[in-house]
Amino acid sequence: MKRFKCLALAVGILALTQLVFGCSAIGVQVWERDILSKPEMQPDNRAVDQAIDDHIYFSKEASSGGRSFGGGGCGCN
Amino acid sequence: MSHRIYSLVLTATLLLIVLATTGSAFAAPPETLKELSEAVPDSVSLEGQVVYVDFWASWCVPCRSSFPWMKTLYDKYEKQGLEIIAVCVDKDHEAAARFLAENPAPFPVVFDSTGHLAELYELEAMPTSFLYNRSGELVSQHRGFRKEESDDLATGILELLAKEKPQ
Repeated sequence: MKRFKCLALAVGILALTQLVFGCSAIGVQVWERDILSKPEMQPDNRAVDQAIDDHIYFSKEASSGGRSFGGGGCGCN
Repeated sequence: MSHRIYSLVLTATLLLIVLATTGSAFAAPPETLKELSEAVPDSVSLEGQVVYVDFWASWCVPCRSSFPWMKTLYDKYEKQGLEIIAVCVDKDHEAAARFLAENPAPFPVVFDSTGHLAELYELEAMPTSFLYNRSGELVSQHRGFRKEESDDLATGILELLAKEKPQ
């Protein structure tokens, strides 16, 4: 029983470690962001769509803005 | 017996957590210019020079704005022993060539499209620059490029140039 508890504890701690740090080594590196930094890759590159969506959100929820972020995706600004 | 197993498992998991959290802390940019001097053309000698290594890309806006500043600095202080190595991490060689045609670099440009040097230097932002003294030791590193910080960067370089005279 004790062994089972010990094993469960170890698995629990391992799972927690994986959950917290498991994704730290994956992802796009800063020097690989050439395509991501293109204007067409930005979520707000279609001005008309964005204006229409903003109008809907503003009318329905009285909210506006806050849909994107500044900078070209190079991690520097 | 079970107590021993318990403490063994606990130690192992704690060790794993410590390794996972400090893994990135062990990584550091090269303290010497050994790797870089292998990448630069044979005609460029880094020995006894104050070396400013700048990682840039044509798609990175602050990198583009740092180019005129580096050019001015190089033109002024090359004779005093300043060497600037611009490491281009562009995968698209044509884009890099287009940028260099518009902004000719008087200093050596090293192409690192595989990201080998970028990985070695553990870049966390673009651009990132590294400053080495005349003995080839890493003195400082700087992330990003902002006009208001460029004077401080230049001061750091000038201090190194003045501290140790060329041999």
